[in-house]
Amino acid sequence: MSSNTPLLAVEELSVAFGGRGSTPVRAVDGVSFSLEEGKVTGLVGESGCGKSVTSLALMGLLPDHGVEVGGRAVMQLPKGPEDLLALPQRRMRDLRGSQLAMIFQDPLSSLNPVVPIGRQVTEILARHRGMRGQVARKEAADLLHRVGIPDPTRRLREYPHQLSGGMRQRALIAMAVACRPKLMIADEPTTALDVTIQAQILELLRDLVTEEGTALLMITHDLGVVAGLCDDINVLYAGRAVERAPRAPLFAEPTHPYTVGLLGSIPRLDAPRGEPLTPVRGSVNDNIDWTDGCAFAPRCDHYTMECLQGPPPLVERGDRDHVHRCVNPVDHAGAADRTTLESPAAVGEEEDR
Amino acid sequence: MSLLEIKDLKVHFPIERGILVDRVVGHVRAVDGVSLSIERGQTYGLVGESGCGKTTLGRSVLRLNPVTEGEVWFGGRDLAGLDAETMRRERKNLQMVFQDPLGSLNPRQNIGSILMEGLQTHGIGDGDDRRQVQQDRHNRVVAALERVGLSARALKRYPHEFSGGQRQRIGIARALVLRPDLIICDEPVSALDVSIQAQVLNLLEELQEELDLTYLVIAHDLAVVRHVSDVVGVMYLGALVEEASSDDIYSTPLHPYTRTLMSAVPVPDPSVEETRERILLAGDLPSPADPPTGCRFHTRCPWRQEERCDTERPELRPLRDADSGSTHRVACHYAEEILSGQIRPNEDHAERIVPGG
Repeated sequence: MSSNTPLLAVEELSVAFGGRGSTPVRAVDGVSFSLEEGKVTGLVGESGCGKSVTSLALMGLLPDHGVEVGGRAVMQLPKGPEDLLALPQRRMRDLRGSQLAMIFQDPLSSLNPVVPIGRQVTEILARHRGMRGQVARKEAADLLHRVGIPDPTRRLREYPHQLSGGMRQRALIAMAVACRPKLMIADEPTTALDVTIQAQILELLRDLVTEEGTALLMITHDLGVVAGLCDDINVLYAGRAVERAPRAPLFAEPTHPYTVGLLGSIPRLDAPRGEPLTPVRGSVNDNIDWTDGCAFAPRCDHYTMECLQGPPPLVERGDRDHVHRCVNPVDHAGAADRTTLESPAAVGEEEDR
Repeated sequence: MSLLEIKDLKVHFPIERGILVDRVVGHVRAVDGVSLSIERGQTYGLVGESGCGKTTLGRSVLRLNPVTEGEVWFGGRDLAGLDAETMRRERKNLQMVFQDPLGSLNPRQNIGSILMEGLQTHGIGDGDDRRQVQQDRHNRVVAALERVGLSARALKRYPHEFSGGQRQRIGIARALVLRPDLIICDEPVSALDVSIQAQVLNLLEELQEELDLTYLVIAHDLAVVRHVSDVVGVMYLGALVEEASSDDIYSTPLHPYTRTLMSAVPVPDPSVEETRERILLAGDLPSPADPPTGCRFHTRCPWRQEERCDTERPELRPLRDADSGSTHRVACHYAEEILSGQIRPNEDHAERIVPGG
């Protein structure tokens, strides 16, 4: 990471659901990463790895009851740094939309079906920038134009069902960028879209990041999308980051067996026909608790008894930017260098149980 | 002879309006004149975006929705002309694996009963009396389950007790148990996680080798289709725009739509991603109820020409100077000129992004 303070530093974020009478489900279990302006950070993982819960926790959108959120998420706000997780709901409501914005996966269910697009966009302008009437409508039309919706004044009067999938996602992005937030979280923004439309949306996001200097947290399961867009990548598994690296080393020399397995599972368009896939065996149901050892161990081809001796720490591999949580990493020409980088918080958490 | 031959298949769904009496006000041309043939032991991959009619085509082969016009030749018979009862009997030779593994399994039936149902319906099972027939059916079901990597313990369990990948395996076992000649896989992996996708794709390939199966794989993911298929057909708005072997379609895509589609698929490799040329189409898919005249793609095509494109519908044809053995077919008037670079894409219709350029 660079020497200056990151825009958002997430440290040991954890989210646990339920608890009364039953063992709580630890959806996110000590995830740390940081976001910088003009950079794209990726959270990659399969369903159930906690990537969406992470984004909801940062936005303060988790329910008040039955959820326990731990850790810190310090964001550099205009009035100085503050911990997003500790802010009262009232303050969060001011920040959402103006400082942080979110783009959801399913554009149809994230838009209000009985309210015209125009009113949904101007609502944000009125709430955060105090715009009213003609001025707000003009600005809304400009926003739609900016995200590439043709004939914006007509579209403003239309309802979400009258727009195509790609157009709805653009409208949602227009709402997200309405107040020029410093931080955007995109939760699977292209999963519901066709590839050609996906390409359009990714290009739009890329432009927004480079032109506005927005920090983007990209949450996706698609490693192809990650390879083209993200600067730093966190691979999550069962609620914990198992590998973190800048884009190039992650794809060139993945060290965690899960990352290797994920990359081996994807049929590549440019691979010769008939090249076999090397999938990860088993399914997420085979996991063990992180407290007992590496959650991935039952599905791992490299596992030894060492893997079952408590949770593996995050360790550095060679350079500082590439860390993984594995005691038997996949070796690339013997370059793996194990230096302990366990954060004290995680150790303490372990002793509590 | 090909195992399955589709000739000029059309599936039009009526659009009905009215308060008391429904009047037909138009037709959605979901599939509008598709011809293709699948050889025994081959995998034919059908790819296209949502709304292009690929699923409708697959379902029409099984007559799960009515065929408006055209012929579907399978084993010397035209399936499109069969009466309902003969078609029902014929379905033991053609089976389908559906997209949503949970939605396509009855939640109140246990796995044993789900797999047994097909055998009962088609009266399959050897034996002199009822008990022997039952035993034989049981053996067939267990054999099918073991082939897909599940055990006989699954028989008494219910769909909700399985993970997504296992459910899809059950869906495949249900198709396998009848020993069909052709299996139509409609988006077999799109509902599954990446690591599970690969397991199912590998399973489909193993089964094909062991049992000499023929597949029609329908998917929106070009990389998946290219991985599993011998022949790939690309659909756009109810019609095939290009058909070629899996390697040809990747190395020399001829139709402008195929090129666009190919350029839009992200590759999980940063070095490729940084140099990949991307063609961004303008606009959205036109409505299949009111398709554009001429070439269906001409409204969005970056290579569009003033003549012929908007008036004359191109037929699927081999290239003019192609070898006689070539199976590469394309539905574009100007495929040769585009390939040789004589016609340049028009920047007004689509954005081309060449990184670093």
